[in-house]
Amino acid sequence: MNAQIPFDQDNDMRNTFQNAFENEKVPSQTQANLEELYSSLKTTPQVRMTTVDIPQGREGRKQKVVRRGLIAAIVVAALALVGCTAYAIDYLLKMEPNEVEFFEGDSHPVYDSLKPGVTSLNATVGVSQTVGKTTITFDSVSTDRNIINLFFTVEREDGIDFDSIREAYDFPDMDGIIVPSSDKELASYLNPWFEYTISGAEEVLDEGRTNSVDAYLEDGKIKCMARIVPCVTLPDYVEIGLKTVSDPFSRYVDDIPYDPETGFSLTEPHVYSVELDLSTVDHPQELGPQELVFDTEKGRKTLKIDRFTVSDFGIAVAVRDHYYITSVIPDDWIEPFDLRISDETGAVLNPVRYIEDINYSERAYVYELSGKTPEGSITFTPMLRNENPSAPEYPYYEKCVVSEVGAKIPTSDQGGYEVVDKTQTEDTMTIKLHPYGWVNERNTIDFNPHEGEPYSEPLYQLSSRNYLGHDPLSGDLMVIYSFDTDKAPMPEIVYCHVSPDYGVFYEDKAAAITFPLQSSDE
Amino acid sequence: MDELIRKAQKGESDSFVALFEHHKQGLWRTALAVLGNDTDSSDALQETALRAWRAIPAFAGRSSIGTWLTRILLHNCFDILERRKQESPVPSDLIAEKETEGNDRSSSADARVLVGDRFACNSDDALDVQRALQVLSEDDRVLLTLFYLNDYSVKQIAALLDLKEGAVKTRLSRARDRFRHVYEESPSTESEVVG
Repeated sequence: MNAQIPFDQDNDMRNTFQNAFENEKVPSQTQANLEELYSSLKTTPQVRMTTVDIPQGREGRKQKVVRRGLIAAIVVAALALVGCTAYAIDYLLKMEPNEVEFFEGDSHPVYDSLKPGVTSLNATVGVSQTVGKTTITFDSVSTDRNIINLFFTVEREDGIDFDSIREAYDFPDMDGIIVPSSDKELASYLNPWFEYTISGAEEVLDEGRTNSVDAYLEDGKIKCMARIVPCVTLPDYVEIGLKTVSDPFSRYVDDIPYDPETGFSLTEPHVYSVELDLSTVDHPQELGPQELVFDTEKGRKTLKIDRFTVSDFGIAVAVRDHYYITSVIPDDWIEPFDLRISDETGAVLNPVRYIEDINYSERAYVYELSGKTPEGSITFTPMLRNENPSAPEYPYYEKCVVSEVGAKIPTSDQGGYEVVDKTQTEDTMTIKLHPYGWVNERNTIDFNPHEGEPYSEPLYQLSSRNYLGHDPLSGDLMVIYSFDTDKAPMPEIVYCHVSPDYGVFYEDKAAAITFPLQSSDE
Repeated sequence: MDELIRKAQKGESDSFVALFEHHKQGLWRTALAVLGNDTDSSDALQETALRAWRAIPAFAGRSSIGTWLTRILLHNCFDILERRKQESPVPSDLIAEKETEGNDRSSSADARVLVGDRFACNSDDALDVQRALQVLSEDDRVLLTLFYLNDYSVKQIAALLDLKEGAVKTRLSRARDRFRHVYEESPSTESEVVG
């Protein structure tokens, strides 16, 4: 081994390690123990946490914020290291009122609520990049220092053949049945996913992945919307760097090589960089960093909030030292979703679920709350668990009507969703649900349409798919059911299955903490 | 793989088993490199399977499933190392001289044999490497394992171990030098020809 070679170029060392362990097999006794464990898994309950659209973040220790010493151009430089060119704008973009092309196209029953805010503050970018046959145009950016919305157009050189993509995308369910996906669903899955870096004041402020919010097909192209909720409130001048995680058409077309394990493309990423001048944008209302210490009936419990920010674009919360970042859950911590958060009127602000991924920061656990914009104060009330809950044992399902206005779908004794609107065409049923009470974010609702008991009625699974959207401002859930009426008539009543946590949670009102919202000073 | 993950998240244990079995070998090697004996590595592997089964409904796919499992494994390894310290507070550089239970790899260096006219799977080198690794501190073992065996980047290691990247680079460089010193100083052993 050569001592002169830097450690990160020491291939001899790497080969030595790899060779030393390549023949190490799991011993037979260890394998026998594993087999015994495997056989017990059927009766070992899984932790019923959030759905796949709530960030798990990375298990591992918290990544410390990089402090001073880094120049603003680090984004472009870092991107250049991966051997691609960052398509950068060489002038600052200012946020101003403008129409946004994304909202001029197809109707957006779920995300139309975002239009007023976005059209009041946005900047046109208009930068296109082509890798292979895929072109992604960064159309515009809209931010109010609190939350960032990004808009893209995705197209293919020879057009986008949804039928062909559908053949590659649609997979059989547990019963071996293939249900054809709708154009809306396919467009959503083709919405590109980016790694982002936000820099300002000579330091990297945040890094993570974007949330793919919504997409639709128009004129042979896909119009896309993505969202970033940073772990910090943005300063006057910021640089945003974006790099695709994968070509959105990876696995669905033949000309893109991809990693079979991850499905991610092996081609160069699409890369962008923009600098924003936010000096004229108002600061949002904030709680400021807080260490909330709750004296609960079960002892002292702590939650460290780095940011709780309110603006017309939404309500953002950044939690420090969270399990999703550190993989450690000390006994004296309380998880964000075990809190009932309400405004000065008592209205509950519930966490927002997104369909697919949710943007996440590598530096804090970040999520959004929905509800009318609070004005005075925020109250945090611990939701504790009963030692001997009265809830039936898992697995337990309850059948709920989801197709009738006024129907309620509970997630616990303390709240759930209520059906507030329903519209219908010859093959589509669109249902809007509004949260009531404390939603209990850990509890999942299976919106796959059923008529009878779970999995006993394959009829609707043969012919229907559902699309979920969650309005981040109102908290409304939109479920769009598409039926293949050639196979079966559209049902008059659709059920969903829930497993509410009855008797599991109770409020510890004596331990509640209230903070006033403050306007940030310049 | 995505399908297995989805099914495991829904509670299908068979899918989870298939997933875990696919990554088991890599996890085993990592545990062995960090912990140095079969018994502790076996405990770490089982605990990882159990924790991963319970937590997989919340796995959101930001890292690969293999990386996620490795993180859980490392957490378990840290727990075991911590328990070791509490049960037997012997300085790590003396561990190689101490008889331990459970197939301590550092004491099996004399088991090398020649089969035919080749070493069986280059076991000489493998044993020397493993023996040298166990002479190092646990911090050095973890860093070297993550970088050279698991191919993690400096940045990923910094995030995993809650260190600054500069600190990771410095420690890795020193760990490598220490490993090289021990490895190159290890005495050779006469080999027994078999068959």
